[in-house]
Amino acid sequence: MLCAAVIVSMMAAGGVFPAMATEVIGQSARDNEAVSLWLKSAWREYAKRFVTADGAVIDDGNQGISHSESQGYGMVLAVAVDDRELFERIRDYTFETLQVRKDHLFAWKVEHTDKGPNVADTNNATDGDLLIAWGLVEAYKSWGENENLSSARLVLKDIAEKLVRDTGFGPVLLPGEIGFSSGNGKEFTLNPSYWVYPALEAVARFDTSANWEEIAVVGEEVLDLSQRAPSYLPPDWVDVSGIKLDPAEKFPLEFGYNAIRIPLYLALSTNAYREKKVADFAALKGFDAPGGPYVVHVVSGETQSVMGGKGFAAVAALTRCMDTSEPFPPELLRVGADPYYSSTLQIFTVLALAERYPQCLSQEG
Amino acid sequence: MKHHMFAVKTMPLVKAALLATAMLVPALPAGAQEVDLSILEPQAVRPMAIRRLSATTDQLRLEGEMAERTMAIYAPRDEVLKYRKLQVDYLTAVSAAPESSNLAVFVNGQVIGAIELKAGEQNTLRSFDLPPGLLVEGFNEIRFLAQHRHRVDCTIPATYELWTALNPANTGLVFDPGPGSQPQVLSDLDILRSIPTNENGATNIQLVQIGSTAIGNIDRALAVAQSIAVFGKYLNPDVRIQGRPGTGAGLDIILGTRSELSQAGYVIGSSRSDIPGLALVRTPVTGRIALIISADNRLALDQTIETLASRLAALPVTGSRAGVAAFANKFGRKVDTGRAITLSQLGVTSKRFDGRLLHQDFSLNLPNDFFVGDYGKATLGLNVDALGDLSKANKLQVFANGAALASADLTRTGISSRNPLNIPLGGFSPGYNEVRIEVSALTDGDAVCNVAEQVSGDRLYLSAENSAIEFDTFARMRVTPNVAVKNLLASAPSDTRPTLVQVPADDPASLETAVQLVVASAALNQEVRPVSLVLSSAPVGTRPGLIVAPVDRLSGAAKEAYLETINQGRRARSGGITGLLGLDAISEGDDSLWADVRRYAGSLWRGMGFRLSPGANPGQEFHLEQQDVLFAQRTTGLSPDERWVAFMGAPVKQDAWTVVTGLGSEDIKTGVSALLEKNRLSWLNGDTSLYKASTGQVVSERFSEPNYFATVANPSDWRNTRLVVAGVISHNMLSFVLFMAAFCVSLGFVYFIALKKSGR
Repeated sequence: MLCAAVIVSMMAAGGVFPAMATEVIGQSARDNEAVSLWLKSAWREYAKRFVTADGAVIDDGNQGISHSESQGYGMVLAVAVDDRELFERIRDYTFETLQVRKDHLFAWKVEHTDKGPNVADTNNATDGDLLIAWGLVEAYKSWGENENLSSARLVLKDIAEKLVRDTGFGPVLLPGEIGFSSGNGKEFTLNPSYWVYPALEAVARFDTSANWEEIAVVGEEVLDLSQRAPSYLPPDWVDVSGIKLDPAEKFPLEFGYNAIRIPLYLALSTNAYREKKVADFAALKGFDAPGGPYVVHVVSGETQSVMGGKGFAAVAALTRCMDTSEPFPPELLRVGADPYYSSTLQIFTVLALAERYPQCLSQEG
Repeated sequence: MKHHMFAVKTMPLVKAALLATAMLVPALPAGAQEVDLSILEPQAVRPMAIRRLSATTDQLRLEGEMAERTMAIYAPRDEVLKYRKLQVDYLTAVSAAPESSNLAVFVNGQVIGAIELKAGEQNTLRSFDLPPGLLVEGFNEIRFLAQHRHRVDCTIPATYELWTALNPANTGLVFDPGPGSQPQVLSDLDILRSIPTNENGATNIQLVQIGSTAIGNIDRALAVAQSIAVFGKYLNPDVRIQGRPGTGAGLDIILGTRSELSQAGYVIGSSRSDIPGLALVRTPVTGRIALIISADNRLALDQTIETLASRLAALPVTGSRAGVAAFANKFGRKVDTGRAITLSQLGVTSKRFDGRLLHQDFSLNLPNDFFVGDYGKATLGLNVDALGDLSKANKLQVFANGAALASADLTRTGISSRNPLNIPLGGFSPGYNEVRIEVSALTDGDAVCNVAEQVSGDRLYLSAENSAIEFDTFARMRVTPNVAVKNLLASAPSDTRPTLVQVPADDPASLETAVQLVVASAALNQEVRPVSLVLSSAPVGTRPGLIVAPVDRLSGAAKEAYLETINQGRRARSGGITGLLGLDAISEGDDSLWADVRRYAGSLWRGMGFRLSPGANPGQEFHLEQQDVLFAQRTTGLSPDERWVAFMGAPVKQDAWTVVTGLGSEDIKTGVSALLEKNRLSWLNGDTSLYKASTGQVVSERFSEPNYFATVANPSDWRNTRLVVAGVISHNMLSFVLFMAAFCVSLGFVYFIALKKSGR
């Protein structure tokens, strides 16, 4: 449908290497007529299917709940497509409904009942908090509303105080306030995909409540250590004790729907070194050819299942693009059929391509 | 030994980049046609192979009346028995008198031949038989000792006109490689110490970019190249990035995932290496080595590279005693404070000298965090006996990295190690340092210069065993910004991430220059630094790291750094004691009383162990001309709090931009190649250095405020603090003097008031 509109006028940047990073996320996409057109269409479809009139972003693949992560994604995407009205609607819903804790963090899970939204779990999800803070910072950069920045700083201050822990590797992000550290406070269960690198890079310029850059570097180290033979795919969850790191015992030993976001976040980074790590994924199981990616058992290396959805395949295609400039398959630009999570990854992937590797968006589509 | 599935063989349909093309159809080395044909059998048609010395044209230039060059050459196990001759190709200055100029060649301390040096000789190619058993597997020492005498001139300046240049293309070990020209699959990693040098004396290292357009594999190949440069101490690498392996002498680094190698036409069989996925293949005639590394994926590739690096680091240095010592001293002997090092330990031999200017070179390696302040000193206890009836005008001079640091008069009996000479440390750099000693030995007869009589009899005797250099306490403090080779790839103390190496995307010359600098500094520093290449279609220089680009393609902090060097108004003119005394600008011809007074003050200051300014005229030097290369480093400023924290040794985030620039990318490439060929990388100093192609000299200056970082366990250690503070004061002498004057006036005033109030 829309893929025909994707043009490669951005290829003028030349070379196979990333262009200079733009200030606001989505700036390159906005500046390119064809990509901007696709993004706006995809966003309209996304908003129609997943964003309620109140501003809740619905995860239709997860009993129709909303969560801090979906709200955060929605806020960032709204800024990227320059949709201020919808951004504010999602933001306001997020603050009114999910910011119900004693701090400035967000309850991770909201169920939608006949009586209205019901916070089902007040524990936070750090990636959701970080995504929301990122969305607020990007909104401030884009539209200059100081309240967005001050709200982001409050969230970041609480992340810094409650969720940053020192380990043998350096400061890490605890996935949530409750349930991820041992009684003695020395062993932690971490999620490498909670390191939202572009978010950490963006907030580091506006907030000093934690050393966000250092946290990002430690995230890379956690990621490196988690990628082991035979598959070299990172597990969704890892246990860290001192300088010891292993796949987490209380979660499936899988590379799955969490970790699939890691190459996407690396690609959205403005750090050249992180971008290169994306290319390294291209040779891994499930990324090296169309058909993947797969949920893979990280110990045996066996495939558990196929990640069905264009968003997942788009992330794999993104890694191949960044590795060998392989054109992005046009069929992965079709929107309207996939559930929330896959659709979200799909739009973010196109954003990453537009920002960093526009040459992979081919004209044939 | 476990054999793995990895080797190279041909297949029918290979792509252009097929490795075997280079290995099965080797190009005849340029030098091969010029080797000594006398060692061929009458019917033999095979070209002889040559293993050149690992030294550049500049390093093979024997200058002065007596010049000595010592180098190490590695003989691999499978070739050592084949080496039958050492071939020398030379050219001598016209000024050299043929009847008293000669070149002696030593292998592992044993003379294997001598040449009478005649300028303008037709046949300049000589070969010497190597006695059986003289060469051993591993490193062997080869030493050249040239003696020249001037035909008509008896002055000291005339001694600089005397030289013999060995041609690196045709100087080395020659042998019959045998009938087979098939590539040999090798198992021994030691072979990476014998990468043959090319006709220019450079070590060609080709990073083969295959299949994938991603640059990540070039980062990996660069890491491997660094490890090998460290392993073999390859100071003058000629690093190329090409889509296919090279020809002639050198090394190809080919790496990728198995599928990438396969798609590019590299066929994988079995290898003899015990590192899975690694193969070493050598072409017999050229000696070119291909190092092939493959794995299932990039992360496994990283692990193989790490394994290779750790294996190389663990391999012992083997060879003859002299060869091992020559290799160990190649980048300078490591210096410990308070411990005397004899010149013989530095590779200097005792010698009798019958000329007019004796010069002796050696190298030292100072700690990475050595604080280059003016305070502190080394003492050189030189034992030189005057054997002839020398005049009173003779002097000893000491140079470090091209700068004159200290001098002393020679007595009638020479110089005794009991009266050591103080050498200020200001001219030394962290890491590798070149030191030169010059001793003049003129007689009253030299003023008359009866050429027919020339020099008769020995004039000096240098005892290397009884001469020593000793460094007293070092201040251990890192100073930024600083372009010294140890700091060229600067990273923040708190940051372990790779240094970003940034070049314009469509500028292969700048890219190759950047990787060449990375590999050369790794060799010189004996340290592998993780780097990440970034090619940008936009002007480069906005991100910290190493930036290599022509001046018109710089941006951000890198552009600012360049502009600062050509904007005189923005320069912070260095003051210091030399500025205070007006010692910066005493011209040679100025014989006024004031000039004499300043010269006297300068010699006094030198005697106290302080370095004088090299006398640079900062008004003009930093304007770029063709093939000049500017090295400049700038860092983010630190707040007063951060400065103090850094001074006390705690990590502080500080970004550094090191810009390497010139008028055009080819200028940069040619200039950097010349810099490496002349072994001038260690001469970079201050926060800005300019390599002048026209003179081969390096001019250094400091334009920005230095930051000090403690690096010792106890930064408040009294001796360290004392030396650092003294160094800082000596750099800001005028301010210090004014401060002290103001302090004394204030003290006097307070004292006066106190006395008055007490009624006295």
